[in-house]
Amino acid sequence: MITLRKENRIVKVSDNEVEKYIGKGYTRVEVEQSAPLKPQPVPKTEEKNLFGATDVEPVKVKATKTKRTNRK
Amino acid sequence: MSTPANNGGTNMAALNYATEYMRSLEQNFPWVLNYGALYSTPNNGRFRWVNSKTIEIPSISTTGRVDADRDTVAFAQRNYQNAWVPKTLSNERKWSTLVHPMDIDQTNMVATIGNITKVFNEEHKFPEMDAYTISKIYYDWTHEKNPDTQEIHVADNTVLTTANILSVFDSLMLKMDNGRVPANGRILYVPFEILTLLKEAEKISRSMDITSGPNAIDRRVNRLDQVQVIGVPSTLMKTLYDFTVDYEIADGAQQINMFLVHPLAVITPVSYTFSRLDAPSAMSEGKYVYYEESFEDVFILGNKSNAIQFNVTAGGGTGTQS
Repeated sequence: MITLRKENRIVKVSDNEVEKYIGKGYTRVEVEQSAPLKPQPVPKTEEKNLFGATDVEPVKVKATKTKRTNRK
Repeated sequence: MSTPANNGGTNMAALNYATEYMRSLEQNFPWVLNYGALYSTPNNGRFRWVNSKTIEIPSISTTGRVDADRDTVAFAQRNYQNAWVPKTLSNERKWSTLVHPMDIDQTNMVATIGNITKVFNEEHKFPEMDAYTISKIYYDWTHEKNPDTQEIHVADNTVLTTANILSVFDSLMLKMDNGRVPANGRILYVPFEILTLLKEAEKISRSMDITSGPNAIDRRVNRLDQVQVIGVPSTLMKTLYDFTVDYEIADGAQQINMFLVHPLAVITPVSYTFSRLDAPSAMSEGKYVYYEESFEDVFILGNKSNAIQFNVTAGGGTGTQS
């Protein structure tokens, strides 16, 4: 739809009607171009432990080798 | 629900009065022509039609006096100018509908042409005419020169409060006084929000009059008594509308808070009106066809444009501060 204006009147018309309205004294309304959207930084997600505390280094559990005993 | 027991034991057929006799419509409260006084201005019919869509408004201007000279004879010359300002109508609107005869029967006479056109007039046509009138007068006025100063008219932009509303109104009246606008017959159109503000300010001013003595009557309140104040829904006091279908407030429209006018400053000519109901025919596939069209417009008279004053604030809402 194309927005046209004549004095106090705004009309929105289809492409094939534009010429007819321009013949009646309507003019195209310039649509303000909004600024292009900038990519917003993604907020960092906080690491939380099971109890809700933040900034806690995750506990690293080392796998311990167990001696394999041969049972007879 | 009726049973033989509660209708006297007879076996009469139950009547549901709600479905059998409910022919009146349950609609919202109707709109009215708020600017009716401007549609009945005495200017309509005073000016000549050049053709079916143009009227011409005549005016004469003359030069002023000069010093007389007893010793010579000056050449006579024409010292007046006759001008015709053409105003061309351009607001041509139409509406139509089909009504199937069986719809009239099956809706128990609710969907009659009379009811349908009544609802159309009250809920669409009247407010649309009001929206057109106010926005066209505002547009014309802001593109017209003050005949005394030759400067383009500019609306007052003061944000209204109970403290300043009477002063703003007084300043609009003063502009009219200086423009030699008759004091009798001025009309002040305001949104209902502003009407409330006006009444509050008036109440405060009148109580101050009593406390400060009977001689200290607030002149501004007296001035308010000199005009006819008419409240209008705020949606019908905007500067710009979208008339694609019906009317709606356009983006960027401003709120008119005060519209002070003398009806002699406007003209609302109607060139052509047509309305007709055609009986069912083969062409209409057995349906009634209702059609109406009108060709009309609203103009202000440039030489009397001082008889129009506005207070307008930006944005969609009513410009008030408590």
